[in-house]
Amino acid sequence: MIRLEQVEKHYRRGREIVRALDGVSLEVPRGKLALLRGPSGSGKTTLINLCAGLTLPTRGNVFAGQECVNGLDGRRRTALRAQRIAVVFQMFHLIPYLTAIENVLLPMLARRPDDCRARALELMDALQLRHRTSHRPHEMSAGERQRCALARALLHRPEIILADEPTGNLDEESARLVLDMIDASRAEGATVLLVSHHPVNHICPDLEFTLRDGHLQ
Amino acid sequence: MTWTRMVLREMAYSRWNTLACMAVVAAATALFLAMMDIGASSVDATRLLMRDMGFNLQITPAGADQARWQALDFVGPDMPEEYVHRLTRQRQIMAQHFVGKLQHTVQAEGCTLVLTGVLPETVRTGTEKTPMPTAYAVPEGQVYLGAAIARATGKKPGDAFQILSRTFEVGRVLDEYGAIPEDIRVYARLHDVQALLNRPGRINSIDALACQCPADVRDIVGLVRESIESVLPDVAVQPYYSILLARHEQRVMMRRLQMAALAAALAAAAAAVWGLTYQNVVSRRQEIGTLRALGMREEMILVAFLAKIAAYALIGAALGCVIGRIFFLCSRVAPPTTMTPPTTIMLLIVVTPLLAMIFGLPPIAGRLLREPADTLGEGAP
Repeated sequence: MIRLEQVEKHYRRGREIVRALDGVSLEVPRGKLALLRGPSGSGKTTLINLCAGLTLPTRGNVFAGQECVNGLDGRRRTALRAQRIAVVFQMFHLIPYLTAIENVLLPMLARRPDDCRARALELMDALQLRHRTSHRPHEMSAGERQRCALARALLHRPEIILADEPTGNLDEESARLVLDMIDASRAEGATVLLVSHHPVNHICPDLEFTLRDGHLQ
Repeated sequence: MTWTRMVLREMAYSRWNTLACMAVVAAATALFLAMMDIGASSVDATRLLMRDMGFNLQITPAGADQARWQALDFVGPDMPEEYVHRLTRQRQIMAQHFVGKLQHTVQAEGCTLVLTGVLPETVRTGTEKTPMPTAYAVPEGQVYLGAAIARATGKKPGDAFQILSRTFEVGRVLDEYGAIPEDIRVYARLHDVQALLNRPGRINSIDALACQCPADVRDIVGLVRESIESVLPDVAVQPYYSILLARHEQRVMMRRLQMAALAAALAAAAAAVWGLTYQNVVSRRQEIGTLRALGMREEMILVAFLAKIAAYALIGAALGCVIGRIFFLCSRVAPPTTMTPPTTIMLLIVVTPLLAMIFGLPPIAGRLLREPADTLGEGAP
């Protein structure tokens, strides 16, 4: 479950205060997929960052399951991301000097060294990346890189998936593969918050929210 | 997937940055070691040069009339020959080389000369020193002639030389010194001169070299005098100020020069490592953010960055030591008589990675202290 209670996020830019989010409250029940829409600059990425504990709210509370994310110290927020939350970024953020399989296995560094290789290969199979295991990100297409980033996010079977414009840079085929995989994770019980300002054709969200100028419509 | 593998992969991927960092550390270490070598050998070389200027202290009996001594009339009180040995047994005095002398102006072979009986040079107990070139161990029955006396008498090695009631053999003719009384001295063994002058067991001066001077003390003459007079209260210490102070100033200057060069090398290395690490951290900003978004602890990321720094600094330091030593040996700035010892070089190779990590820490820590979203560059602003 993801829950935001009267969340505000303000940034200072010189003398100006930027209100990225202003009194946002929403809830995505466990095992549901919510679609968050809104134009560029409406605060969607900030909301994802708050849910992942990558930044802290100016006011209000953010819950991931029963945990109040902004109530945790930095170490426990890090542990929360390592164990229960996955973030998929629009810009992929793959490590350029690692191969595709190494990028997928990267989350292992944050946990006990379980052998996740079989799981990684399974995900890469499902995302049609098996032939790219030893390729570096710059040798892959945008669609392949995003699928690789998604495989990395799903490696540890997260309870919460936060996907920020995961299909923003992809062709239709790649977008379909990514969304299908996210939908399959929802079917397995994951809670998904999917951000997009493009129409999403391949999946049927359980909930839809729209952000505009930091306010939930 | 392991951290070690990740660090190695990153080093290979950003090889130009890695090589630049390694080159900077190697250059800094080479400069540092070369400066240490040049400093040590220059200090040693100038120490020997200054030492070869001659003794810088004259110890005489307390009642000796300095005006008469200046007039080369050495009549006056004397002191026991044993005083020389008493000085050499003292570890706390600020002098190391000693030559006991009995000198007296006499007429011989138609010339006025300063007959100088000398004991072989002794050094302070517990030290090993090369002999002073101006200290002469004259064999029994021989004399060494000052240049002016040899010129005036026409004597050369092997000739007989009559002094008072005894005939000596000329053992050596000394190089011209260019000053009186040095050029009119005739050196003989102390015990020969004591017998000739009928003053057994007595000397009337001790030449000494003050060379244990702490570099940061201004009143060096006072300290030297005090340390000797505490052992022999009935003597007067006459410094040859110009030689003593020149020697002291030279040591202080060489040490300061060495320290300044070492500090400059260290500061340049610190700035370069900081800059290159900063550039590396900035270029890997999103990577740091990604790792944090994936749940990596800050300290693990820090260790990964520092491990890279330690790896290249270790290789750079080892290379630098080789380059620095070769540079020193080829530079011929000073003769390689004294060089940085191997233990110090080993210490340098160990300490360099630690220093590099310290210099590289601020840019990494600065980035890790920021919010992951900020580091990642995702979201406003």
